[in-house]
Amino acid sequence: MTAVALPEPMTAPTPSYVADPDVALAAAGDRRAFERLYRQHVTRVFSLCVRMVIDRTRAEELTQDVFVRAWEKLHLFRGESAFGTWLHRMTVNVVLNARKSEGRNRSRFEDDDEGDGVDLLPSRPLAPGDRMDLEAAIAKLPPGARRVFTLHDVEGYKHEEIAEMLGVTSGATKAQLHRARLLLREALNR
Amino acid sequence: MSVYMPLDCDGFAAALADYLEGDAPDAVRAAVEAHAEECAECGALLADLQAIPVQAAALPALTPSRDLWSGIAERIDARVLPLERPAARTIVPARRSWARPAVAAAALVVATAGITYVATRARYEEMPAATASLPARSTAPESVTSPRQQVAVVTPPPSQAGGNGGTTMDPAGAQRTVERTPAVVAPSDRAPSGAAQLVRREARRGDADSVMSATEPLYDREILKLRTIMKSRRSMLDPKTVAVLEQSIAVIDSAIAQSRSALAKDPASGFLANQLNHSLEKKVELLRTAAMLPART
Repeated sequence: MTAVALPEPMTAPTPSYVADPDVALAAAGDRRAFERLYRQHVTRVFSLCVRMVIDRTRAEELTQDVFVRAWEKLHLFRGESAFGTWLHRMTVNVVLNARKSEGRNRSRFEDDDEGDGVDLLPSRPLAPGDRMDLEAAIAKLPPGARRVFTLHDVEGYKHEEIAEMLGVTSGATKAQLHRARLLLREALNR
Repeated sequence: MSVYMPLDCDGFAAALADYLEGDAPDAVRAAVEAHAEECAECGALLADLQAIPVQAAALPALTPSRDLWSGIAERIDARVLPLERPAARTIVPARRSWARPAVAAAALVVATAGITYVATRARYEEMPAATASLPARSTAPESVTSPRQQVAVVTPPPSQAGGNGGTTMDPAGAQRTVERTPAVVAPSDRAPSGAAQLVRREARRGDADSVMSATEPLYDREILKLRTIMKSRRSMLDPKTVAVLEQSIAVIDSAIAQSRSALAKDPASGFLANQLNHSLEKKVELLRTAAMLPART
């Protein structure tokens, strides 16, 4: 008797909402389930916050804001994407909204590096010693370049997504990214 | 972008961003790669710029210096007793100019009738037991709530009608207010606060004084808890926001003090109890909003 290979049953992809029971429990108001989600995702949320704003204390405040907001909005999560993806996007929004809020109070003389002009630095010869690690070099970037670099090269967002988040063109984010990489190279090779 | 090929170092630098993004045409790509092979400095630049995204994607996750959960839990706990949302306002078209006086007249009639009923009912209650125990007239059904209840009871929203209590018809057809077990408060925006529920329960049960003596400690505990959260988060909020919050709280505190003072003189007033309850509810609402505000706003 020959074995007949049966076709794979057609199944819809399991939504992450269903795949992660803690998400469903937390959405129903289970605080312990939400705490488990917090423990699972806090380092990734904090990493994004701290790389976007540099100040660790501020990043911790923003991380708390993200989870409070996630608790408030969890009933809107439909499981169309992974919970981590949803939370990550929320993190970006919280950080950028905080930046806008703080920007209103900031002096106009403080340069936020928001323009799309690319101030290309001359390539310098490699100098031995006094090398900076990548994390420290990212912290030294101008805010605009740092945000785009973090979102693109660290977090993996596409230029179109970043442009939408920041309210700029994708051409501008490409220019900022190139600038950031050149500045990083300079810092790393100094 | 105009690139002259074969590329020199300036042409290479001009074409580099598009090359790295994958936006350069094939001919330009080939020219960039050819120049990178010929020029050691540009070759090193290209190699470094290609390595940076790889290193960035591999960066380790960073950990906060402290456990942030307690601060989060404190803030989301502030929503344990969510507030009911105000009903949507209906705008009456301006052209129906007769409507406003008619509504005002109707309201006046209702208010006058209510006051008269309150006054006469209060007198009935003060009458000797023999008089008060007279059988009720058929025109006054026993199911009708007491005048004080009519003043003090806050009508629950439609979504509440089936949950925490409401009005049903008994087999005889008489309308009766029923008491049900309060629902477990879920962290949603839809349920009324525990204090508001208690006000309704107590208002159905008895006089305004007992309503407030039962609910005020509940409000006080909630306000104290929220005050503590606000105090701990004060430095995280924008000073202007804090000033506005404090000013608003002062206004509400003044209203609370006035209501308490008036209620002390007239402890049976359902209206005053409702006013005090409303002011306390507003204060809780404001403090809760403050507790949920993101930092630096």
